[in-house]
Amino acid sequence: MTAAHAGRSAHRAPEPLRRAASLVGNLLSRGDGIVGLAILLVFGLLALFPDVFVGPLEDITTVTGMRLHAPGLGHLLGTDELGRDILNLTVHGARISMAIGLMATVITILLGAVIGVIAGFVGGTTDALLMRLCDFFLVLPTVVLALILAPVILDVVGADAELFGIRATLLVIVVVIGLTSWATTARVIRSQVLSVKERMFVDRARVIGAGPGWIMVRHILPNVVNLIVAQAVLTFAGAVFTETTLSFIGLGDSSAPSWGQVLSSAQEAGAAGLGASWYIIPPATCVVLVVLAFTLVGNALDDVLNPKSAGRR
Amino acid sequence: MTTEVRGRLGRLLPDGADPTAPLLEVRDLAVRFRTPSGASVRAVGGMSFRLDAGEAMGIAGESGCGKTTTALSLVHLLPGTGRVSAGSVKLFGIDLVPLTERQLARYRWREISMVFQGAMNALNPVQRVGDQIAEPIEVRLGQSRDASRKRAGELLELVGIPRQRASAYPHELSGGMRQRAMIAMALACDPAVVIGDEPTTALDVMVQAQILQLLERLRRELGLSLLLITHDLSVIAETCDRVMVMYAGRVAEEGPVSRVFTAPRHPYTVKLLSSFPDIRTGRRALSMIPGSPPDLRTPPPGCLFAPRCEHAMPVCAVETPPEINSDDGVRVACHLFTAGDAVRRDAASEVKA
Repeated sequence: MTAAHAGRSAHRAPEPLRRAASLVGNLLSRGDGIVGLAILLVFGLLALFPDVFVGPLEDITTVTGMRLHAPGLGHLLGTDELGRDILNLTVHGARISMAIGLMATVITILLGAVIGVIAGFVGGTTDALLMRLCDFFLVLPTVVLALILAPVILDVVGADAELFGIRATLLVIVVVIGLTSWATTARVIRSQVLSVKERMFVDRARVIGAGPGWIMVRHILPNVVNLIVAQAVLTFAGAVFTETTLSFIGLGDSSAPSWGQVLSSAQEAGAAGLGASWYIIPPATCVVLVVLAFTLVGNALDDVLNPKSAGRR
Repeated sequence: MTTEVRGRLGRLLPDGADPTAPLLEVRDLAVRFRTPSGASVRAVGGMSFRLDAGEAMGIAGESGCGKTTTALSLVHLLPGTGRVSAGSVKLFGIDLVPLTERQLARYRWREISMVFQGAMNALNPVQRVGDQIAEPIEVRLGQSRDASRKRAGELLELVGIPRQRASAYPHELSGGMRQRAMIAMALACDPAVVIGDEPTTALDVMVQAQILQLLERLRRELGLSLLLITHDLSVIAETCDRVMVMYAGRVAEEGPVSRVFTAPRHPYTVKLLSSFPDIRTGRRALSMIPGSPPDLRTPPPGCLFAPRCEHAMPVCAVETPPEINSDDGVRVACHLFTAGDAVRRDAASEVKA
């Protein structure tokens, strides 16, 4: 009686909301889930409201500190070679780094999942063509592609063009990361789809009269979700790293300091040689923390999304 | 819609249905499979049978004799390498064999549905059971998700599972409950014929008995017709009105369960029955059938059972035995029964001895 009642009242809330709520609840019941979500929450807040925490982004005209000053009272994490506060730069860098990571991940996962599922499920010529396309993108070197694409894209859209408030130079990085990493995801997902589509419930769905689209969305996709999540986490971690790398070699946007950008200027200023570890450690730690947090959440999600492991723990 | 034709329980029949025709009538059905080497194998050859409304028929035979192939071919569910090469399958008098996939959609699952072998594999492990039962209602009858979920709840209650369990995942249900869920799914579109492909295999005897009782009750209450495929003769004895014994893709013997099981005529049926232990008689060594079924890539001429048959006569190796209908509703394909009445009685008593 009570169970029936609970079931009915639960039906009033829209289902996606209900599922999302229970998903977060399950995540929070695990140690790695809590730690991962907490770190992401902190960085999320920093990325969304950097001004609240450290004030507006400092530039050469608004600097307050001395050049390469060690951490102290006025500047908790010290200053860079222009006298900018490192804490200020690192916090503002969160927005760029995380935005690029997220956008690149979305592109990668969308392309990878759609192409992987279609190639695996449809098979035949479609599969062969899509996989040859994959091969092509798999062998593209990220850095070289970025070096070529950056001037091309900037030429086409103009260096000052903006999309969703993000400058074109950063979009180059997003596009490059997306283009070079979707193929791996597609391959991994396709291999799993090849196995899932031979399972009997797929035949059963076909017998019932479900079309290929329905089967892919309702039966194949839910069975590869854990792979997609794992790939998304890896891609995000990889994207933050790649962004760092690309900014480091000078393909970033010097007016928008991402963590990679900060590391790059640290290297140019010779921070390591000057013993200015405070210039290098904060942005590097942030990169590691965010990647760690995503890995923790990804691991927890993988377990939570698998109905069989729901009762375990 | 031209004319509304209502049949069993006042349900609407498809356009062009003949209300006087038998529910399901299969005539000379032959199924061929392509082998990787390019050869063609005749898995089922010249099967004929009929299934009336509300009737339960069992198809028996050893593994690989074409039981499942016959059932799958009724609604074009054969795997890619197989096809119906001859014959007709008439449902309400409408021949399903020449229909396209699109035209068949009207019949598949809505008129003929299936309870699959091995419920664990036939259920999607990451989808809730209720949603899976609702799937045919959504896909086939085009109902909204909420309406189909509601109906799925009713179907679960019908097969004896509390409605609340609709939100369970397959691994959270017991083997028997999963099989019930598969039955609920088969009933989703209120079909006229349900094909049970080894529905109780891999279940323990208690659960097996429950599932069989459930099928029996549903048949009575919903006026279903059942086509039960199994190698377990006791299942057929318990639930079916008629039994069809198949051997190497052909009908060996067909008739009312009471007659075929008590007085088998075809030497294969005799052997098949005596290879099952009987609880009423004392311990004895079970008889087995020497040899194995013929290789259908190179079928021997004449009767396919002849090489393993104790009663084989010279004619058996040459001529395919015709199907002989006798007055008591039994049909048998054996040369022992082709000659005159006297010989037949003689031969029959000899077989039983």
